[in-house]
Amino acid sequence: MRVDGVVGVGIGSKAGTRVIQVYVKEVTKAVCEKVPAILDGHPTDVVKVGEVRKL
Amino acid sequence: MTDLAHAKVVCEACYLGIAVEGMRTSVNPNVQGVGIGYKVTHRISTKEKALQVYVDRKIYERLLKPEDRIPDEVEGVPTDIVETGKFQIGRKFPPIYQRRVRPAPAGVSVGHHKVSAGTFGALVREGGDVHILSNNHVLANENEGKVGDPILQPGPYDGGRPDRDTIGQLADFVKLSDEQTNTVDAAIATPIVRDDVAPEVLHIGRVKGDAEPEIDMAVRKSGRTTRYTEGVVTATDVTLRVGYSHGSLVFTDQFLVSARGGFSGPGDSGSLIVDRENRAVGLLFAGSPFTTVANRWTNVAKALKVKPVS
Repeated sequence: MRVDGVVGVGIGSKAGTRVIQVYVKEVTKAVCEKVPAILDGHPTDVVKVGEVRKL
Repeated sequence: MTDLAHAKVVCEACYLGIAVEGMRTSVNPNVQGVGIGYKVTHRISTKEKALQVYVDRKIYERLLKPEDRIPDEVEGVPTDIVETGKFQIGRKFPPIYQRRVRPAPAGVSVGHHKVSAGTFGALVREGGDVHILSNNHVLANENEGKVGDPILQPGPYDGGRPDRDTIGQLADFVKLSDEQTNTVDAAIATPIVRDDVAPEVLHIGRVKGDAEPEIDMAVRKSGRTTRYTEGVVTATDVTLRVGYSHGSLVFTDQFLVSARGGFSGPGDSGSLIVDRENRAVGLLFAGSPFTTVANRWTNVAKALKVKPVS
């Protein structure tokens, strides 16, 4: 979450495979370059969530 | 033109001032409209067609000036005077989720007297006491509320007023921290009158136990703004930065829900998220146009030592 634009992380699913989701305000080339494709042996997926606020 | 239609035109000219060639017009301020319908006698509809004259108020004939009286028949057609009041442009009546309801079921608008409005998530039990459950930022004004503060139903944004709509008093809340991570945004309020709250969640029913959120689990909620919605858990074990009034706070051990058309909106905070079997899964508190964020129910139950009233 120190990477600029990253607001969170979690465990999700992509095409039936468990992935580490990396939540971002906007999917940008800079963010995608900084997030490794594999983390501790698990694939990552950059997911746009926008700005998360209390509702 | 039939006798009925002709009589109606005469009335329109005489009472409503609608210009008709060859007729003198006048206005009776008590008459609001005219129409054709079956004559009603002693509240029973007869099969006799009549000229209905809609009036603001029915007034005894002897109290009216002769020129304001409506005759028993016009052009041979019987009249029927119907008290309708004044017709107005339809006033918008708020949905049950946003108006005062007693007893109030979970799912309706609620809020600390200094916040806008959120959702009454569930009726919960703490020992022998029953409480209204919602978020800290709904019932405790982001740590600024004091135990005993009035809680309104509906919330202030929906017209709730402390002198009229206080349903409970703030009883307890889990402090939100900007120095450490948070797991819940939760608070409870004690109802002033026990019978003013109900254990049912609107359009869902009673809560039956609890369950852990799992990826692809089908869930639903009833909330003040987007009302009843269904969605799917898309992520668990989530750590996320969430924007509040005084800056952003970090939450851990959360889960995300998504739905076609959206699962939540501003004002849905505090909604209880349940699975298909009505088991409590989470407490909704944050979101974005793309997703909804919720505390795990087991963390909420542990932090406030509560169980849903079933």
